[in-house]
Amino acid sequence: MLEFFNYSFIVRAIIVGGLAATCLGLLGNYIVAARQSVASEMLAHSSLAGVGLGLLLGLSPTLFGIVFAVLTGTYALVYARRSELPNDAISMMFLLGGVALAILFASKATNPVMSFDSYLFGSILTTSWSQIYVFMALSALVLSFVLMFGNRLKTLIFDRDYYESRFGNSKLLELTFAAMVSCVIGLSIQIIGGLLIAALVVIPVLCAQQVSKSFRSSMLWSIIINLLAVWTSIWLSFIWDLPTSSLIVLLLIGTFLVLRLSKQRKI
Amino acid sequence: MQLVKLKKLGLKIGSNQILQDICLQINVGDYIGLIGPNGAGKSSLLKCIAGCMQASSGTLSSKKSLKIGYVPQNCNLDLVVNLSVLEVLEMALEHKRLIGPKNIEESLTAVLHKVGLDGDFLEYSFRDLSGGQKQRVLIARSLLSDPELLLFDESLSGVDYQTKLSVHNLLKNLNQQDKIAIIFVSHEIETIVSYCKQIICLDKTIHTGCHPVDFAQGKIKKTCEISSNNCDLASGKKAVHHHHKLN
Repeated sequence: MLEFFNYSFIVRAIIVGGLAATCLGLLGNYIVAARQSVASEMLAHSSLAGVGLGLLLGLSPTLFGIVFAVLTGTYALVYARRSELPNDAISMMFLLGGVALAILFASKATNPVMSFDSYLFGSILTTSWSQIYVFMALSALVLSFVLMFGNRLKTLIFDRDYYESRFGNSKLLELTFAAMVSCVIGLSIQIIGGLLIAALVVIPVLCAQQVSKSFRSSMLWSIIINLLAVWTSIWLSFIWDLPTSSLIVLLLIGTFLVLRLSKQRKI
Repeated sequence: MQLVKLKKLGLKIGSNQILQDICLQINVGDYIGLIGPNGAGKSSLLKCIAGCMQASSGTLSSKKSLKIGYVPQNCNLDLVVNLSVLEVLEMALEHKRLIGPKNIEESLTAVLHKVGLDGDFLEYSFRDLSGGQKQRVLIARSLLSDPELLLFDESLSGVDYQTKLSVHNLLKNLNQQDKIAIIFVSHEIETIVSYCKQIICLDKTIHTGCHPVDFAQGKIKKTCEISSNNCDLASGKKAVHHHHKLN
């Protein structure tokens, strides 16, 4: 068991996995409460399009991925929301557009060093220290944002009219939130994979809803469940040589089913 | 004392004229019932007063640093993700960290007592409350901003008669004892007639000279006139009260 921690790539995976699990578990509660679950998948897929372009141009795929995610995220979560357009349909359109562009760019990219597959399916075990430092800085930003503006954001999501009657225009808060979620997802896709990253946003919240009666406890449970799923998956993938991201998603779904069934049995 | 004054206020969203030439003055101690058919602009008028919507024409002036409490018609508080009553009330506390956790709980418990709920409710999930209890919590939240004017948008549909009466009694007490001016929006003419001191008939614009019951039954054209012609607040004349005095 202790041998597991002797490998530096495992230690790096545990750290970056923990950071991603914490940030996504925390922000996931706001996203699910705002009924924007599809948007989290949309952000991941539009980020993949940026990754594809980065690979094609031979520039930083992660940076391009974040830029694409921020652009689509701010449009879909802030501007489209204020229009008469159906929100989920807009998110779905960007999701499909992201996949289409990603395939297009990746098909023409000939970069032998960076593989598009690692962004699709994630490669947590190849995380570098520089990625960890960037993620640490972003995590500090996310935590500060939630501590300072979490109450306002909660008010906005749950009761927009009341928010606007007290605090006025909500656009700046919405833009900041959308940009922050986009950055976290854009940075996480190399770890968990663009196809499965939304699992860390949505499923822990569904799990937490089975055991919590308040938003605060839901946030806490989401983080705990995410951390357990990510760390257990890293360990299992090390032992059984299985893809970590698949294990994370399956563990999360398994946790949801167990919690849901036990809750229904109590009722 | 005057709290809010609307002069020829209009609201247009796209090509849709929601409100037109609204003239209204709200004073300390008023308890105004606002009635009108669906789409009459009742909620929009409250949103304009609350500051959620910007009027497209006319003027809205209010007393300096007027504190407004607002109970909106639509909110997602009991949907999707659980919220505790404590968290619903916290929405009203902008600087909660400066007050300190102990003082927060004391002030929240006190406001719950004021609306007839005990402190244990703070830990309850908002979703698990009855319709009447939810209304009381929302009123409590609006009271936390220490309002001089309370805007209550009809949130009592689907709530039984006894509960409605108890909420109305609560609002009546707030109006009489705490001198909070109230605008109450509802479809239900009976409760409005029983509780409100004045009634405003709204259908895009304010109608005067008609009996509220007739108005509620849709007999607008025969008996009512549009009040906007009388809107002459700027000339310094006594402000026209476009509401129907019942007593």
